[in-house]
Amino acid sequence: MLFSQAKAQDGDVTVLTVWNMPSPADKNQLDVWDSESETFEKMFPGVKIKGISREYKPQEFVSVMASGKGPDVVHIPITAIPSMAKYGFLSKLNEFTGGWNQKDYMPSIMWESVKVGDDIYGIPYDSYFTTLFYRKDIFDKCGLTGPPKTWNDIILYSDIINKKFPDTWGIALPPDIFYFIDFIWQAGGDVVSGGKINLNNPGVIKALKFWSSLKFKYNAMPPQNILYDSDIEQLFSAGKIAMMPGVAKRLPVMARRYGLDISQVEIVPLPAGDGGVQAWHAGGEAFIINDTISPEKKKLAFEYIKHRLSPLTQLSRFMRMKELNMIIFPGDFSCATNLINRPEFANVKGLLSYAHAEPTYYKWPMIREDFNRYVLEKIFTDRDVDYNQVLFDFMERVKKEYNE
Amino acid sequence: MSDDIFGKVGNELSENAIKGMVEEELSSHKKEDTSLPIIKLKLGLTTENVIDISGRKKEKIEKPSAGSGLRILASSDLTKVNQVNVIKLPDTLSQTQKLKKVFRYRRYGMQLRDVPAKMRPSKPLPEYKKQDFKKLRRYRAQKSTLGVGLVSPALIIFLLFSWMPIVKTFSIAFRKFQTLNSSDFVGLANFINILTDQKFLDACLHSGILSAIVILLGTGLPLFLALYIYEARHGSSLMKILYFIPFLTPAVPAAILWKWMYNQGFGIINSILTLFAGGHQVAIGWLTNSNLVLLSIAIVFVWKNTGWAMLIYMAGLQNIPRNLFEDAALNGASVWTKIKSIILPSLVPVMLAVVFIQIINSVQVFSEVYIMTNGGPEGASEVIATYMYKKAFLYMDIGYASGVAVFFLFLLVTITLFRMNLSNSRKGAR
Repeated sequence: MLFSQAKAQDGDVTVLTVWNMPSPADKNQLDVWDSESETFEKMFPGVKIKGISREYKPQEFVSVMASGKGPDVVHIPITAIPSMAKYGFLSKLNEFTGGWNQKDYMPSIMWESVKVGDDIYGIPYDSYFTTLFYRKDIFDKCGLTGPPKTWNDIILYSDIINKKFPDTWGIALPPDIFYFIDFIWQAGGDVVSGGKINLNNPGVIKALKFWSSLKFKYNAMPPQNILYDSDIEQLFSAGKIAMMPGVAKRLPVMARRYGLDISQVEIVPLPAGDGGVQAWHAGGEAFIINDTISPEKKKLAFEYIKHRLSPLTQLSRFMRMKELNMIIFPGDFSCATNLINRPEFANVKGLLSYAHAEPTYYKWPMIREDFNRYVLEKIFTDRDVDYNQVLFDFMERVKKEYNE
Repeated sequence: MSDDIFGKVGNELSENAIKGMVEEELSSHKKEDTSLPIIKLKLGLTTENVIDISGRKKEKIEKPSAGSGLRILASSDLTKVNQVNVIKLPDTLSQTQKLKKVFRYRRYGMQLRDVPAKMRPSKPLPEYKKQDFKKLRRYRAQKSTLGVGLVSPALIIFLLFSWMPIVKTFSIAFRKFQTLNSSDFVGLANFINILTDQKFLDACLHSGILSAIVILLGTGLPLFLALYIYEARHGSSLMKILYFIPFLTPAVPAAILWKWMYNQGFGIINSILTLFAGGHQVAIGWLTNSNLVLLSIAIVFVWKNTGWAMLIYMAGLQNIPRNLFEDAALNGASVWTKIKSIILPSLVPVMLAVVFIQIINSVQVFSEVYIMTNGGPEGASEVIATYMYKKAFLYMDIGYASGVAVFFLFLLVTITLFRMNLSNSRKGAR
């Protein structure tokens, strides 16, 4: 590491290694990325950006950071920040963000997601919300004029769709707490109480019963056991289901991978719960700075992040993407900019008001994984499941394994 | 000549053997003694059935003169040592010649008594100076270290990339990590936790079940294909290639492909089954049914490894002498009799090798499980390798994961040692 830094600074040029460079196959994205890097290099003549086309993957990231050869700057999912901060990979950024005006333009919920205690370990980069995708073509054929607004609407609409097209179902939900947590909030529950994870409460039971009833009582979901996101994406793309929860940035992937016709898809807020509670969760990625680099380099790294997130850069990015006829989603832009006011994002404008953040607890990813496996997969495969018993067993397991 | 001998002395040594002995004696002693050696051979000799084909007198035979060459003596000259017949070697032979003869005669089943040889006059050793001795020592040292020098680069790389991680894993298994840069020594705590961890025990059970299914499917099917190709008159090379291609397919795309094929709603497997279901939609949850998921993964594993196992069986089949099949055919043996009585007994070592390699590979399976099910549904397909991965990179419990890795290593070493032991005991039995 020392050697590589010394070498990098030869000739008064500091090399800043940045991951997340788009792949060479994605020429348009790479074009946008290159122009942003060039602008930064012009602003800081002594700095050279070394882009590496690599996304965050836990195994790879942990290995490379532990070896001391990690990138100087990278953006990672905000849900990964607590555990990576705990293991000492991430630099504390309080000193940088303190005097940064743009901080106040970012939604506070995004800042909550990158904080562990009082320390800030990441700078929110993009943001997304869980939304509902629905297929306009199927809705039109069934005479449905708008998206479902409540849980009851989901049941009602699904019934209409299934009666019109017997091999098409209303909705499919993956056994993943990433989506399920929204239904917990919509049911008036939460996953944290008294500073500890608590997944055995009336809100959770209500949401579980609703999910199970969609499949086994109302036949709103396909009869087969669908346990993987990819299966749902495939069914939705093939027009076998009319609604699915999702994150907007998955749509281009679905179009590329499964031939989804994006023009037939509408993105709308998730329906509200029984009591009219609207809730969904905000997620996204955040820039982090490698804790092992020198203080001078950390300053430069922060300048780079500031540059990438500045309104000017974001606006240039938007214009360039328009020029290149690229598909534009809100998630492609920093949550610090006012691009949300663009007409393209009208449907999702205002989602922030009802957004929640996942717990920033380093054991949360592990508990999530176990909840998916031992609770959600069970309710989708067992018609007669005893919710109270399943949740009690699960919390006993959590207490034992995670000391919660 | 030989007919005559065999008619009188019996034929416990083959004709070729005796001819060989005679020719050898003639060729090795033609400069010293051109006379034909006396051949009198018979194992379990008695005086009356031994004849002297040279017609030489007995006393001459008893005391062979120098330069008379090797005499294989008459029965009376065969010496009994520990109740075993031996033949004296003449003193005139050099030590090297004697050793050669000892070796050759032992090949023909006759033991020889070692007779101290008269040393040939040797040349005086050259005189060496002190510096020469130094040179010699240096040369010897260089010679002895040359091998080490040649091997060391490969050895260092091997130790660095194979053994150092193992040693490091062992050391990490005794620690609990707060951060990756700070850890506490916790002794055997990780191992104790592992042994009481129901998830780990479940993962071991699933790995065991997966291996059992792989052995059941992955031993018989390649053997059947190998037999089929072995007997095929046309297109066997093409079939070998076709069956071997899945083995060359990388695990990740293969797993993605099979995941699609297994899809409960629109997978090709269920679609094909639907064709035979009389109009009923078949919707088997190959990867979503807890009771089927390990079988489904095992099928992918077997599909991928069948070509490889088939080639191993093919090699084993090639080693079975053809004349066994010809003899069996002449005796009217059926195909099944040939398989049961010739092929299967001959292939036992190969089958054992295939079974153990399949066990070791199936216990290590990761990509197929990780991509197709990620351990689901409800943990029904969680195997040791995926559990270890999740402990390390999802649960970030590096010490615990290393402990699991150590267990895993011991398991694999035990299987390997068991196999080696079995293989050695079979060799011993033969």
